[in-house]
Amino acid sequence: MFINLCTLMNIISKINKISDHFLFKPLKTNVFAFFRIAVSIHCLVFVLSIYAEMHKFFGLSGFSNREVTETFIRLKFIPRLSWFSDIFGGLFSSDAQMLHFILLIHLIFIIMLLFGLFTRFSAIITLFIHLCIIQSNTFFLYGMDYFTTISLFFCTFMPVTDFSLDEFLLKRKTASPEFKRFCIRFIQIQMCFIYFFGGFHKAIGINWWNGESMWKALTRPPFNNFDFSFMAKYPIVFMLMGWATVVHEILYPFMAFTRFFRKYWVLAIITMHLCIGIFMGLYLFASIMIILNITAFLNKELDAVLNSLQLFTTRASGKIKQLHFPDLKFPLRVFKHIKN
Amino acid sequence: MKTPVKIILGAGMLIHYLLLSFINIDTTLDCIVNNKGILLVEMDQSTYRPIKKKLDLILGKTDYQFNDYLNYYLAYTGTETGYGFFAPNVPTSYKLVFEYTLRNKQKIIMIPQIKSHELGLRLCNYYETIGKTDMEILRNSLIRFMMQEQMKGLEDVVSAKAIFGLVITPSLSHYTQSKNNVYQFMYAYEYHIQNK
Repeated sequence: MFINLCTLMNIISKINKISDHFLFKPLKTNVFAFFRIAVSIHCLVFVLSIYAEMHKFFGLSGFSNREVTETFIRLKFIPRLSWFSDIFGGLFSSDAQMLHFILLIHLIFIIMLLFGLFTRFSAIITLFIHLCIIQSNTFFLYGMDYFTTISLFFCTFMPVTDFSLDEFLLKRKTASPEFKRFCIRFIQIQMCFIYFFGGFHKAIGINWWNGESMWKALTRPPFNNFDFSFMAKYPIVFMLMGWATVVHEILYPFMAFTRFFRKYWVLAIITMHLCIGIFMGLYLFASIMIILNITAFLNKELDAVLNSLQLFTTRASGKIKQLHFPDLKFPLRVFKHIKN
Repeated sequence: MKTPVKIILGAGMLIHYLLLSFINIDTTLDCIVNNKGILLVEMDQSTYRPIKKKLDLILGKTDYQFNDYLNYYLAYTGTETGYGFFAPNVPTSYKLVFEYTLRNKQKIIMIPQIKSHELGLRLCNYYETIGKTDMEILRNSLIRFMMQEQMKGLEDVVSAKAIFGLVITPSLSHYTQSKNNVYQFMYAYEYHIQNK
């Protein structure tokens, strides 16, 4: 009995050590700064792309009626655009004007998030307005909206304040390396869920194995950005592309955690998203998935690129000073003298 | 980082991913039940229903008041849905055509036009809702909203017809025989406009 208890204690302490190592091993990375900036730019593009015709989709008299679409929101405290119209509605002459005002507020907070000014607060407000927009008309939602919500949710609690105005002006402390590791793991596991279940669902359908789904994805309107009809002579190509998609997605959780395959597997997935963006016209979906993939599994490579860029800029600026501003040496010396 | 903080963070992560697992298992079960697919067997309803019932109870689909907080969390974190996009099969396209009759008996045929590419993609999902919903009143209303928006640029419209159907693109195996898209009629509505 006593021996059994000892072995149990040993097993528990081992599991504890492994999980502590997995979740909280200190990590120094700047990837969260990239994440904040990239997600902000993504949101900025999204807002600008819907700005002109926002009222048609989310207004009271467009392709749909907000009063009708909002009745499908199941819960009382899910954010929606009518909350804004209840408060600010009287200030504007039309609903379209109010919607543009909301988008302007949204833009301001996205820009604040981009530069990292009151980062946490900006992320929460951006998430809130984003939820108001997408929840008001769920008939228009597609995958990209959910991934943008997830990314903004990550921005609300993850250490995204590196290289921000908060850090430079308000002297906010950077997060502990243990917390950075935890957050990276959080994103990694989320990505594994996304791809594993995405791949598994595709694997259930027979058409992903015989190439029909791949063909349909590239030729059905409105995803037929390019004419692939000449490829119909080679059905094997579509079949192989379908297999590659399913296999890459299902095996993502296993391969992305191996030292040898990680980089290649994630790069293959990024290539797939690039193709989705270019050939199917799903630019914003592709961009958010690439951002999430880079943040989750290519943080080392990104840090290396950032470090070499930093080194290059410091060297270049040093050389430029030597080359073009030799006359500044004397006034600088005088300035230092006066200062002392 | 102190151990209690680590425990709280770990527990939070565990709950988040447990919920995500339930949602994805739920959508996977739906997927298996509704599609024969590669598994070549349909799940028996007697196996499916008890699991589905339990998952619905956990996810608060059956009893909203019991699990409201859970649903709020899922909505606020963007995890309220599974990840089976374009799966198990790529969805079919739909087409909506309007025919307006003017006072001078002239007929104008139009399809909804969107300038923004991003919003154009969303229109497909909107059509999918129209095509798949069982609620006749919803389908009629959604089409009518589109008709009214489209009509804004037209003068003296007396009646409008809306024809909604499927766009069946040629399959890979049959493409060499027929290269044209086939349109399959689904619904038609006629609206008499008395006062614009």
